[in-house]
Amino acid sequence: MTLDRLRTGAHGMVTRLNLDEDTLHRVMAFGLIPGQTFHITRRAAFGGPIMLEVGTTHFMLRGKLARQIEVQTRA
Amino acid sequence: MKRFALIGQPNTGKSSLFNRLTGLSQRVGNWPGLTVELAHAKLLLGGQMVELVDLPGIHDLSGYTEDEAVVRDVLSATAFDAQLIVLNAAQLDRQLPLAIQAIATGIPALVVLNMADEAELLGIDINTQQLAAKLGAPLVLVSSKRMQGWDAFKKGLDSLARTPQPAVNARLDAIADTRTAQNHARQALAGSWHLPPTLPARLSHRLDHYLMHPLLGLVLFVLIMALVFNGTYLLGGPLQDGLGSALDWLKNHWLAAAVSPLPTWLQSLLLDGVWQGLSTVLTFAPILFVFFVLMALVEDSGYLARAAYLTDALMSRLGLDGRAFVMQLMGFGCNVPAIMGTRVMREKKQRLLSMLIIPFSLCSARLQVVVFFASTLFSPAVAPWVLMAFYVVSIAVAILTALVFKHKYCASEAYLMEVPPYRLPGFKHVLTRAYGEVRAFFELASTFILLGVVLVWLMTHIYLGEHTLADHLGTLLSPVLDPIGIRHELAIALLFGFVAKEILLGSLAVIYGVSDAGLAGAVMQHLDWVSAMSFVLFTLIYVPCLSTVAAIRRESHSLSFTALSVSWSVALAWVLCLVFYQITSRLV
Repeated sequence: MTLDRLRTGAHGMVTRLNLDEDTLHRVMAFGLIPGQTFHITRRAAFGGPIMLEVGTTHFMLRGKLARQIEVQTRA
Repeated sequence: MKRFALIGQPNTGKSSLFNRLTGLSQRVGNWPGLTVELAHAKLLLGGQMVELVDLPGIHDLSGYTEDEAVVRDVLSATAFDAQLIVLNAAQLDRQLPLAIQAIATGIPALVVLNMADEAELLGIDINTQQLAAKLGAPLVLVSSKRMQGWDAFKKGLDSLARTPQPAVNARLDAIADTRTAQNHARQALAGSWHLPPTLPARLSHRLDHYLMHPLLGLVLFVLIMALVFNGTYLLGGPLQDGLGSALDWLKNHWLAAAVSPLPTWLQSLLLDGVWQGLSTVLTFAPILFVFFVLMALVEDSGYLARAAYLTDALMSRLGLDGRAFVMQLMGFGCNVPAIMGTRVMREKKQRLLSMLIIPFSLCSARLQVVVFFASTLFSPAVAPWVLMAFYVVSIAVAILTALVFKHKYCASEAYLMEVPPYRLPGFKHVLTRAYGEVRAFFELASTFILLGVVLVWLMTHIYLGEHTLADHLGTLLSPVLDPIGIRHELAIALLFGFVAKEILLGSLAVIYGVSDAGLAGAVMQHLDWVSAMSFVLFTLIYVPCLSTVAAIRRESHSLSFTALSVSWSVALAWVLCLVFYQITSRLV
C-alpha cells in the first residue's frame, strides 16, 4: 500500500521509498525512512497536500510524492 | 577578523537568532564568487571582531537542493573560524543528523539548541552535557525569543572567538551521508533526549482545526489575506501619498528655486527627470515597509505554511506552490513587494515562474487608470462591470502565463514543507527584517529606476527637427500600434506609464494640452471607447512599472530573465489588444 491511500487519522510505518536519489534525500531529511512510524493528521480538499506527523515534526507533502512511498498501516 | 557561519534548518529561529545578535548592523550582499546573497554582520565577541554569516536554512548537508549546494560551496570555498549550528530542541530526532554532518567538516562548532521553551512545553527532557560529550562539540540550550540561556550562549561565542587556531575550510569529503548521519544521531540521542510517551495536545492543533479546515479554513484565509492587504494599503497608501506630497512640496518650494539659475533644459532634467525618479523610488518606502512587517508576521507566526496548504491544490496545477498564491494576491496592491516577497520560496525555478506572473496582478496604480477610463467612457451602471472584467483579464492572463511557462520553470525539488507550530513573532525581528528589505530595495533598484526615468525624460525633451524623440518613436511604432487602435500620441503616454502608472494620466493631460480636470472631456473628444479600452488593456498587461522591472532584475539576478519577462508581457499585451480591437471595432 502507498501513503496516498491512507485516510486522515491513520497511523502507519514506512516500508519502502521508490524515489530517485535527489528526492530520497529530501524525504529522508524530513525523517521519512523505512521503519519510521507516522500519523496522517489531515488531508486537503480537491486532491491537495497530505499533512503528516513524524515524531514532533508536522509537514505536508503532495499526493504525487506520497504515491511513491510504500507503507504499512498500524493500529 | 574572524569569520563565523550560522547554519541550521528552516524554522529553527536561526534568522531571529542572527537578528538578536546583530541588530541593524547586518548587510545583505553577494558572496564572492557565488550568485547568492547572504546576510552578514560584524560583532565584537570576546574582544575580537567577528563577521557572522547567515547561511540559508537547509535540511541535509549531503542533499541536492540549491540551498544545500550553496551552503557546501560557501563552507568549502571560504575559511571559517567557527560555525554555530542552530537546531530546534524539540525536533532533535530529525535535526541532529545535520549537526553531525556539520561537525564532521572540521570547522570548530557550537551547537545551539534553540526553542528550549517549546521543548519544555512538550515535556522533552534533554541531558545537554551528555549530548555535548557524544557530539564532541560544546552545546547550549537557549530560547532566542525569551533570551533564555543567553549568558551561556554568549560565553560559548566568546570562547570560540578566543581560540587561536587558524580558520579552516570545510572538508566536504568528511560529511557522512544522510543515513549514516541519522544512525549516529539516533545513538547520540539515546539516553540524552527523551520524548514523553504521549505528546501533549498543543494549542496549534486546536487552532488548525479551524484554520486548516477545508471550508472554514478557506474563509478564514480570505479574511486574513484581506486584513494583510488592507493593512498594507490603509497604512501604506496614505503614507505613500503623504510622502509624495511632501516631496512635491520640496520640489516646488525649494528645489525649483535652487535650480532656477541653471539653464532651462538642465532645470527640467533635474526636476522632471532626476527628482521625479528619486521621488518615485522613495514613495515606495512606506508601502514596502508596512508590507514586509505584515508579511514577516504571516511567515513567522507559521500562517504562511497553512496558506500554502490551503491553496496548494489549485497552485500545483499551475506548476506553483501555495506560497506563490499569497504573493500573487499581494501583487494586487503593489507588484514590487510581491516580487521581493517571492524569496519565501527557496527554489529558484518556482520563484522565477512566480515572478513571471505577478506583474499581471492589477495593482493599485493601474487601477487608477482603469477606473478613470471606465468612469469616463461608460455609464455608472456599466462601469463597475468593466472594472470587474479587467480583474478577470488580470487573473486569466496570469493563469495563461503560468500554464505556458510551467514546464520551462518546473520545480525540480520535491515539495515537502514543514508546518511549524504557531509562534508569536518577535517584534524586533519583524522590524529589523522590514527595514532590511526596504534598504535592499533602495540599494539595488534606485540606480536602475533613476536611469530609466532620465531616459524617458531625454526621449520626451530632446527635439529632432520639430518633434521630440518620443514623437518620432510613436510615429515609428505606428505600424505596430495602429492595428491595436492605439494612436501615436498615446504611445508617449505608454512610455510614461512604463516609468510609473501613477504618472500616466498626468502625462496624458499634458499630451492633450488640458488640465487634469479637463482630461475626461479631452479623452471623450479624442478617443472612441474601443480604442480607449484597447489602450487600457495594453496598459494593464504590457509592463507594470520600472520599479517592478527593477525588482525582478534584483531578485532574479538575471538580465535575460528580466528581458524575457518584459518582452513576454509586451507581446501578450499586443496580441490580446489586436484580438480585442479587431473584433470589437468590427462589431460596433
